[in-house]
Amino acid sequence: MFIESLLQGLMVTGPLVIGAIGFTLVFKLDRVMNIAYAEFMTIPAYFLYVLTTSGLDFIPAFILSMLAMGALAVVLYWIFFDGLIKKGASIVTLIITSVGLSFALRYFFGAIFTGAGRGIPVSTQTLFTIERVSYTDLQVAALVCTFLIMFATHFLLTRTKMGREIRAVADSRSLCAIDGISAPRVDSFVWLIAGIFGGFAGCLLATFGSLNPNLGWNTIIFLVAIVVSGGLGNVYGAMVMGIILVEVQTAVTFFTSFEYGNIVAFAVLILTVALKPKGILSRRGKA
Amino acid sequence: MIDYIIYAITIACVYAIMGIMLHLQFGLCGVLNFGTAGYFAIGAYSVAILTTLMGYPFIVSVLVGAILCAIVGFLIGKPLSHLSPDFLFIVTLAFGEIVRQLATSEAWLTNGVAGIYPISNPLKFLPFYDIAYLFIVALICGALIFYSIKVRASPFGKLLIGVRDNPLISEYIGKDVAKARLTIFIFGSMIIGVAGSLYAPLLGMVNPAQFGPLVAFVAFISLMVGGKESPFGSILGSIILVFGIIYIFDFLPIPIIQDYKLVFSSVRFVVFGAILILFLRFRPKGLLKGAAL
Repeated sequence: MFIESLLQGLMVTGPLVIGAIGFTLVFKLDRVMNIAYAEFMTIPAYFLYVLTTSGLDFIPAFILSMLAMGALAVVLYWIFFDGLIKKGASIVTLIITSVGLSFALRYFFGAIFTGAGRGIPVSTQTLFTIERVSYTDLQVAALVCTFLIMFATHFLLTRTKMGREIRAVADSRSLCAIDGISAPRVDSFVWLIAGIFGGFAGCLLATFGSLNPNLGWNTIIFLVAIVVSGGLGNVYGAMVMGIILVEVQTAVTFFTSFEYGNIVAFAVLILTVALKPKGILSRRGKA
Repeated sequence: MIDYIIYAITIACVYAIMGIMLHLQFGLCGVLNFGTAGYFAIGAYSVAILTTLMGYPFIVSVLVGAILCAIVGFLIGKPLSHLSPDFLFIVTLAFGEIVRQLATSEAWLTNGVAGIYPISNPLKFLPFYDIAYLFIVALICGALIFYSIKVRASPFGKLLIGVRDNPLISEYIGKDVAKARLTIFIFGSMIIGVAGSLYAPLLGMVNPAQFGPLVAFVAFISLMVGGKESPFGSILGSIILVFGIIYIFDFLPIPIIQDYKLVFSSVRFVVFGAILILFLRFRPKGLLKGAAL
């Protein structure tokens, strides 16, 4: 029973952990708590739906949707956020802008794709079955990709020139300007990555479950619980808390019902904010 | 038609009550509360459960709802009052969603997705009860505007503005920043609960779908459009929103093809989002600027 719950949890960690990393990267760089990230998951899922139903194979469609979302995220950043950040807008202004953007995008897609949930057409093969629950090749592939992306993010942030630049811009934009680091290039790159990660999360969520305009919004609260309890802007915190919280949620859902899983996430969110606002990985005295 | 206009004005007044509280919380003190839907739902559900299911008088259920909201406001606000506004935003946003999910899952109390009905108007015995109800709601609204003008002029109002503009300096001169934030948060939560209680008999029913994120969003955008720092801003915003956008399709004499009704109802929220972003960028204080300090 317990092992089964753990295994099922592990299979669905992918979308949420990768989504949380994307959200965190943007926050780390720009201090934007980007609620519109919900739509960074919904929109690519609709791309995937349109591409697969018009006859493209699943994997190329998946990759195309991710890349398209990455490009769209960069465009949205330049239209909506760049001017505000340059003007030195407060955190609150950025949050409310992202909320407005989120609603506008969600209802835009709601207007195009009205009606009930849709399924992504994909054929999967059962790899193995434990206790009458079968696990498909798609789930295992998603899990492997998730861990690959996690390592790639770590590698990117610590071992590459771009990673150093991201950390530098996150620390001080004006110092970077003096040092000749191009902040716009770093901004574009990070929003591209965030969009691609959002695309990965959204497409997987839609494939495992069903697709409706509220897909991202229903996930964003849980995502935010992961991000905040992992420490805002802390990529590794997001990874660790992502896995832990998804496991807990799966266990709670497994033994009670779906709603309680989210309520546990909310409780974790409140408790972290009350006891350790800098996240569970923070040490005393360390910012 | 005239009934419908009265109904729409009453709704606008209920939203304005919420807006005035957001004006006190966010406009004056900088406390970003996005959980209005949650308190709104608690108020509405207390009326539904206590009057319709248990037969208590309306006024008792309003009071119970208000007290419940104040307690919840304290529990949420206490740990957050010394943190930056983005934490409060996230937690209240999540809170609004959680209340809706609890309303869905705890069917023994709330009757789940089906909701509770009918909730009769407490003034049903009067001949023109809908006008009387509007009068009472408008009276509460007016009293709250008067109160918010008084608060702004008082030393406590100055403290709130100090907390918004520079919490650090307020702390240095010996003011209790966390307490000021908490006070206004609890008071606001309580009155938003009352607004929810007043809303329930208008619709005649409650169900979880009514308390989605749109409630918080509409209340917030009416504040931002009307002017977050003016006590009259939320009234102006609510009227513009309710008549200009929410009910416009019902009033306009253009024939809307039935198939597109759903599309139109989505499109107006796209317009909402766009308005919010444009106002933040080009007129961040909203239409009414509010008095200078």
